[in-house]
Amino acid sequence: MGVDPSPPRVAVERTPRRPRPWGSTVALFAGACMLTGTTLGPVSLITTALGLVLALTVPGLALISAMPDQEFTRSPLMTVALSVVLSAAFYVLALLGLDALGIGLSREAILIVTEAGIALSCGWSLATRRPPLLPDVRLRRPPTKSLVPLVSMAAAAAVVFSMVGLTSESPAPYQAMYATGPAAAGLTLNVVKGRSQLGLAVANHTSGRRAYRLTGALATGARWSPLQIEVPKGATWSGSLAGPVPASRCRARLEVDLQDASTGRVLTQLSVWVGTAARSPSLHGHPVPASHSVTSPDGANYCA
Amino acid sequence: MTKHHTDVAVTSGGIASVVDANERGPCGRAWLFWVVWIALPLGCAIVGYSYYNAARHPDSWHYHIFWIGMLTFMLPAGARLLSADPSRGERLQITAAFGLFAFVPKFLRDPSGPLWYDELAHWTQAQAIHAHRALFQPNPIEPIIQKFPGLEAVTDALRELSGASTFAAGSTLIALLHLSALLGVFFIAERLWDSPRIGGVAAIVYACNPGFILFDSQFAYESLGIVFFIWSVAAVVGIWASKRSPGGWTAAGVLIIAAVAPTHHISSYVTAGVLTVAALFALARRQGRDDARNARYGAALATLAVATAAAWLLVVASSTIAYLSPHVSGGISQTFHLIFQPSARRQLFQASTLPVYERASAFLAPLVAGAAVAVGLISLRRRASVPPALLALSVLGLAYFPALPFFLSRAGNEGARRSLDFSYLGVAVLGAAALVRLATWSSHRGRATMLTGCAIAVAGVILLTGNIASGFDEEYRFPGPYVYGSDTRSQTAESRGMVNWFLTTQGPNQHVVVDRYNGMLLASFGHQLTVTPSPAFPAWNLYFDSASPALSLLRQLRDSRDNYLVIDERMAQKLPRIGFYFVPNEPLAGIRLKPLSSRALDRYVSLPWARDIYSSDTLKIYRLDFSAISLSGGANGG
Repeated sequence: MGVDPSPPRVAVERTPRRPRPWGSTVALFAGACMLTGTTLGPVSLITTALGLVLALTVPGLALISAMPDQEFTRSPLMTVALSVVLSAAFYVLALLGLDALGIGLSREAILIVTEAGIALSCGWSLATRRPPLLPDVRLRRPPTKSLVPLVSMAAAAAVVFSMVGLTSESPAPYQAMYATGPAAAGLTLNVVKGRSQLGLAVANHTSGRRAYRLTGALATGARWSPLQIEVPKGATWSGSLAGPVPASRCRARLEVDLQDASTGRVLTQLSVWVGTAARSPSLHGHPVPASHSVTSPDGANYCA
Repeated sequence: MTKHHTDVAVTSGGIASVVDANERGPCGRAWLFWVVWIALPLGCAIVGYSYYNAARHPDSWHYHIFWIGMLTFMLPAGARLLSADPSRGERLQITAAFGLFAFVPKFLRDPSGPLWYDELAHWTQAQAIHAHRALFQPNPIEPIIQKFPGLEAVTDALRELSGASTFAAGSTLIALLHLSALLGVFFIAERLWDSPRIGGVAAIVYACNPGFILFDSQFAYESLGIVFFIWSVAAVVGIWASKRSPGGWTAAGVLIIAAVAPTHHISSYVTAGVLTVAALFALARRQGRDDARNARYGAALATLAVATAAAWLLVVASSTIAYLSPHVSGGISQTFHLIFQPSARRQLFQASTLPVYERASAFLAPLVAGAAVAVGLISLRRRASVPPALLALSVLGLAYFPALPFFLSRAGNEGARRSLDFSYLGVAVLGAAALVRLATWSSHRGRATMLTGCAIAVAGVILLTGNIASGFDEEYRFPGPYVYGSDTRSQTAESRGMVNWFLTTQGPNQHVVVDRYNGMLLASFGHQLTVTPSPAFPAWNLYFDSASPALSLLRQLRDSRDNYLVIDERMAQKLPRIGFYFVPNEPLAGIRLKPLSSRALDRYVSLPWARDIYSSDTLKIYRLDFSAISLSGGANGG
């Protein structure tokens, strides 16, 4: 008896090919276009909020759409959560890639690499006939009940944003005095015909208009005529304080007091150096003791 | 005939098989659905009011109001998740809301901009990356951040693509990451125990960890790194639970794991460790073709995690070793030292203003966690087949307990606290199974049902309040009056005004010698390069010594072009709240009894090389003119 060499026939049932996920792809493409719009268009509160949401989800959703066996798409919330994580991972790797290639992280470069990632993912999803994103999304609850969490979260967000201004503490008042002109750069004030002038600014950051008195006194004893100023709340006064500088072989320290005009209380002090350079043999880096003087390498002689 | 249906699709002989959807347990009531969603905005409002109260009335009422607000939502949400009633979809919604709600306290702490030390450092880094259009910018506040630009890369992309500010982009990112983190924990526990009920409970137990509500809500690299860690574990769990080819989870896992290493050092090392342990368990217990295939995929992800973490450490961020080693070695040596010398222990809650119930809860929380983990481990033993990832997470959960003694040491305290954010994933996965087991056991037992419900609620409150109390002091948590030497309460209008003036008149990128608290602002908002003193560069001596500065130090200052010196007069009036003026390793840090000498701070008025250019109520800026001083040799040159 001859043996039939042909193998037994098995009926092969071909499974129907999965349709291409055109719906997901068109939705992702629309998301990518909107992202381009929010990136390149005029900036407003709405475009910024929309841009943030799209930038945090669309790249991740595109990556999910390209992945095989998308069992995580069983729940829309879980898909969104994973899309945020995948979007973040995508940006980390994409920007590292751009940086490694020496491409500056400009708006255009980031947009191009993001759109390219979305396009490649969508293309791969179409080519490999991946299942569509969120195939089983159905409203299984009555509409009212399914809307409750959304309404509650929106109300919570409204409550939180309405409290933004209320939770910060009120700023403590203060006033500041600073040098302008050469003294602001740390330079010594020049003496011209026995007088010198210090550029000053006084900023009032208290709760109301304040009257101040500016006094200047040289460490060598000479006093400059005081100046009375009024500075409105939140404003800065600019001007100068001038006075005589007795002839001396050394640079003198000028102490300027900012006083409360009504009480005479010293609010803050500024000290600058006034005078001309003079040669002296000693060199130290120590504080200047009273009745002594030191000379720096620039040849200046400092006296207390 | 009553139709009984379990709320799980597949059971492996685990406790989920006894969880019956028709058994309500202690908390199963349909009206809870409405309570949960009404409580959400109400809880936000009460929490917001606690901050309003704290900013204006510095008593202790804000603590009580805060907890009333938190529990207004968290208790009904927890009860609903613990009950057998809700569908999987509702559990996911509550978990997502929980994640967003847990972001609210940190957001309302200061919604105007970055405030905490780490936040300022990362915000500065993101600003620098945006300005220079390149990653790896030097960071004057926390230099290690330069080597881990993941968070700033995402923020910069969001900023460019949306037009939002760095703070707005960062806050949105962190809020959504919070949501993703809890949904990731939900997924892990759900798949490991085959129960969405355990998934939801695990998510809220995880949210009770010491860092989730505050520390991981700040704009810092760990807030992103920990989410990558959670979803890396989720990918491995997804692979293991796959009945078909796990290509989707593998692809997702590859992307996420590749992004961990450039984002956060500890997250990448913990990810590598947990995935490796899971892979070893999986390879050891292959029982069929599917198991063998899934074990191979899991091992591939573990290999990738180890390779990327090691490569990043060796090639890009080798300075991480020097950054982390003092915390690890110092923590270990100090903790062992404490065993033999208990008097040297760090006093927990020393001079704390926290309410008594918070402090008591801080000590009780580990006991509650321990009990939950113990019952969870018993549940594990009763399972016929334990997934390798569950074994790995059990090991991780058990790591929570050895970390606790490190809280007593100064060097180990910080690292121990941060490790809990990771180990709590294991605690949550085991503890949730224990809680659901307890709730299921007590159902239909009359008074026991009510008592069990109350006991679980009390345990949850202890975990939440105790863990938050153990991690943060009042200054970090609430707004309020100025506190010298606090990272969060030392920012005043005066210091911000000084920073603005400095930037406007002196320009950016100036080298400034300044204390930590004003330095944070100068480096971040002022774009200045602040000096970090060290034993090799003891710039702190400019403040600590009343004697003349050493010539060697002045030479160092000149050579590094440190041209500005900022003096805060309050340094001579108060001790810093957190124990140091500049850095934790400065002389007398943490043990100083008196503030600095005012003589040491006032001497610059008469020094010819220090030029006074700005003076406000308490702050002075000197411009250092080294041409006015001879720095060649001298007796003081040491």
